[in-house]
Amino acid sequence: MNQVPLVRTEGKAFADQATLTPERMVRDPRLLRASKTDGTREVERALGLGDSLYFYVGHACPEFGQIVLAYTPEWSTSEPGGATPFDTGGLQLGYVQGNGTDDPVSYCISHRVTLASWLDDFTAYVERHFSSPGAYVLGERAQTDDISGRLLHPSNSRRAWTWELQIESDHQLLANLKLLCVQSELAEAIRRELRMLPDDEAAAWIDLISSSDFRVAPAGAEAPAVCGMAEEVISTWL
Amino acid sequence: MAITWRPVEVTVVGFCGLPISAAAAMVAPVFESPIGRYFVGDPDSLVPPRCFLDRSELEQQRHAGYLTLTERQWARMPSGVVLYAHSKFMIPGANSCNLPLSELTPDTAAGVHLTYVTRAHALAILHRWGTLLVEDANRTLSGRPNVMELDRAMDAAQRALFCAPPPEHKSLRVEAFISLAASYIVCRRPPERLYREMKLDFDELTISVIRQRAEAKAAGARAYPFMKSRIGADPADGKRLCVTVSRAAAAA
Repeated sequence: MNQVPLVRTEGKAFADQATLTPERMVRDPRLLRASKTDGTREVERALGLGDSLYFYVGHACPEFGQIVLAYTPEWSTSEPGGATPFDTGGLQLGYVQGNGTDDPVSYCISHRVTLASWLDDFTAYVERHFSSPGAYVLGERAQTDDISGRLLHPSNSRRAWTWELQIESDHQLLANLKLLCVQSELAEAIRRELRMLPDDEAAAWIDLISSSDFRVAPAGAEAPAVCGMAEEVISTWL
Repeated sequence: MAITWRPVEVTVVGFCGLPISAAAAMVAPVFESPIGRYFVGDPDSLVPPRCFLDRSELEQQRHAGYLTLTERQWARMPSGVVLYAHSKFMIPGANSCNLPLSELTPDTAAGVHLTYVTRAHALAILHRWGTLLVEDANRTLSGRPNVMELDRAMDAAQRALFCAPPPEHKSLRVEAFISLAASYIVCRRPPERLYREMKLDFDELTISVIRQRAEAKAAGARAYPFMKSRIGADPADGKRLCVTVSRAAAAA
């Protein structure tokens, strides 16, 4: 069985600039820890997290933009950082409910695992609480609750049970990339940028867009449609 | 379960995502109904949207770049889309093929020209623009283009691709790629990468047709090569045969 991939949704604007434009994707293809709001930095300070780059495990969240990137997970186990079975920002801001969440710092500490061990912990978590990995990826609720009552708490939504990785390094956009889903106009803009690049610089991108790892949503589709398409594709791998 | 979320009057107040620089695109609208409640998705769907936003949440989403709010608002129509075009797409420069702005309205808030029309209407506008661009590229290629004119042809063909979303405007997309590949050949830029890229849109047979037609078009662009004006040396088997040619009309 394939592993559930790490997913990052990009394209959101910070300080009136998009985090990832077609030009930047092609000319400077890096995912940067600097691409975050002051609110996220505040959460990092409050919870004692390092300066992190965030990935959800198996969830393409439409609230972060219209570019969905899915990565194989294995490389993350040798990176600095940690992982939690919930969204840390949601926990700090009071959107994650359960016994003990009123003290988010200690709740985070008691649930956070190292990146070296997170893959085994995540696999056990899905086996214990969900009907299948596919059900987890498609956002279904857990079948059994966790000890703090978080998974089945009626006030909680998906980000309360989705695993989040906090990786304390930047990441090359194309490294370990397994799937890229975008809207049609963005695909067109990426292709236009690529045509201007010399062969050696464009080679990896050309390989990607010529493969089934590159998916384009129909013209006129809104952001949730792109994310939904990505999760449908991911669920077929599992 | 009967769901009665569907509102009677729905207004379009913006579109999903951020406009892309130098691009044109059809994008999904952001709706308001009733006043002060906002959502995206299909207002005709039996299933309500995942979330409704109030004005402050809408502004937060706009600030974060999830959506773009427009100055103008429209009454919602079935299968309506927002069609936007960046000014660098419509009027890239003096040496480019500029498109008429008359069908769109400038929107300072969104930073683009736009309109709200049915999907079919938006596709028709895009097709018209794409045809203009392809014709301009072909006109340029049918002469003896210099470097600047080849840049113009390539720019027009690439912009035409934005007007030809697959699968709706497949034949226009084919024509745009023929012009683009021909431009590559004329300026001695290897087109192989372009043919590889086309696999995203077409099957092998269509790509091979594009290749043939692009090569023919490129040959046409160089149909009248410079002639050497000086007579060459005599051939090995004797004196060069000289033939005097006169116009038939003049002889008559």
